[in-house]
Amino acid sequence: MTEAMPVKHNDAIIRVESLGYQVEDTAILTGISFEVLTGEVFGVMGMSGSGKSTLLRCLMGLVRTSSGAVEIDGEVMTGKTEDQLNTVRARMGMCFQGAALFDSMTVAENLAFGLQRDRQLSAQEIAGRVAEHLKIINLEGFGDYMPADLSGGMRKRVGIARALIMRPKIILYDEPTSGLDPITAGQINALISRLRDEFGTTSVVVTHEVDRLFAIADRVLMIDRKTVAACDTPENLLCSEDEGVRQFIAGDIHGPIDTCVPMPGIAAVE
Amino acid sequence: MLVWVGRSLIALTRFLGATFTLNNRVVAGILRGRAEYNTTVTQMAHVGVNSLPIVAVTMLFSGMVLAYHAAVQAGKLGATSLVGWLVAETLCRELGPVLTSIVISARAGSAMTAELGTMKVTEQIDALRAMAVNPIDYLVVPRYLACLVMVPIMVLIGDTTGVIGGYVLAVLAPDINQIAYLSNIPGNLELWTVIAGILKSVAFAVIIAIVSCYEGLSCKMASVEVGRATTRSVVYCIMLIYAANLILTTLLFPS
Repeated sequence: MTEAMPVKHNDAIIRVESLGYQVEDTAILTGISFEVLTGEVFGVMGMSGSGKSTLLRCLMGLVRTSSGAVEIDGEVMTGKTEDQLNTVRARMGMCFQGAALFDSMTVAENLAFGLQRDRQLSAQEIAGRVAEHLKIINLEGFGDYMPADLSGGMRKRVGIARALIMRPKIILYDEPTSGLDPITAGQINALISRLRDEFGTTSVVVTHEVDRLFAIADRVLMIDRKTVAACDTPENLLCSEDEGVRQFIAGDIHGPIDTCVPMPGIAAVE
Repeated sequence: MLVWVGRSLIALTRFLGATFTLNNRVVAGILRGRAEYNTTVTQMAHVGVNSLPIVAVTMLFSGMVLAYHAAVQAGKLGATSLVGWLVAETLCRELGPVLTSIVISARAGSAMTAELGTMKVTEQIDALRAMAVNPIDYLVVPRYLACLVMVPIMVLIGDTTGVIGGYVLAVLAPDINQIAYLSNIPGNLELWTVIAGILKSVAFAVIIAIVSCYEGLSCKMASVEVGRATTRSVVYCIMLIYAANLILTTLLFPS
């Protein structure tokens, strides 16, 4: 495995240095270092349970890192109080894997929630912005629905719209296209690319869907065995000599990445 | 056995420390004016208005049973005219605050834990934090304020309902003079007794809000844990209400 050596860029909006995260005595992530440039779509891939989502939560400051430093938009996240973190979070948006919609609110109320708390827009402007974003995610007419009345894919799209509506500088996506049909997944990918091209929004996309990620990402970081296995452009990763990277991209069950989940009575998978 | 006692003591110390810290953060949030008006009013409806039927039924029947027992015992001394005062005194001192608070903890407190626990499990709490919203200010402060306002009001309503329950029994029972039942209350029931009952209910309101919200927010990430957290919150609330009642009784009514 090649150890990615990050080069310090002046226009890096996210800087992660030697990040480590552990739960009690179990290390989840160790020695993670990388940079995300402003306006970049940055992918994070890896096996299920490799710590991709945890990395996003570290970036958002939702969990306290055990070691290392995270810098977002010039501000160090480590050691900050919840109120101090909120000033940084206000510049970020996050799409959760399960959408995490507020189930006591309608779809429109979910979208309007952040804007209402911001108190910079009138009720009419908020309603206009909500309608605009419902159109973006092809859910016009669903504003009065409760999240429980929507399909998983619809909920995911509302979760994305809720992050987009605040027009953050950085959006973190946790498995944005998993469980969606190919057309909806394609629409979401197109939306992420459009945000980069039109608004210069920086996106960090966590997924294990390699093809979809490579279609939109400027650079991709691969996590294996709790640390960075590779960090490069999709083109370079496709030509990588690293056996682990090639195994993951090809989806091969044989290789250096341990894919064996112990099952009773099964000694090996041929 | 010693190990079990030791572990239980450590767990209890941690629980009390964590709930004390949460209480401090909530009070700080209130002092910084972080209370959300609309959410607080909604929570007041949940804690107060929605709990009213069960509180009324509980206290009505408790008042009737109390009047019955008081009539039997007072009858032996030839003092059935004091039944009304006995009922009112017992309700305002002890039964009103304790029973009403337990009923509210079982009805509204458990609902708070279940709601916050579900929000935790479905990452809604993390979504709030990701949107730069402090979950303590947005979720706990309104529930805390709702309990602080509504539990004492419900206790007053419960006390009154209990006295009415006793009066209903007095009307039905031939041994109790229904006119004496009512007329002996104002002269004998001291204002301090009612105030002390209200002070107790304020302490119980803090216990209900903090324990219920703490259990919800510290729920582990599994749906089965929501049920466990809800059960724990009701059990802990009841135990702490009993313990606090003993301490407050000795402080407010010194012998």
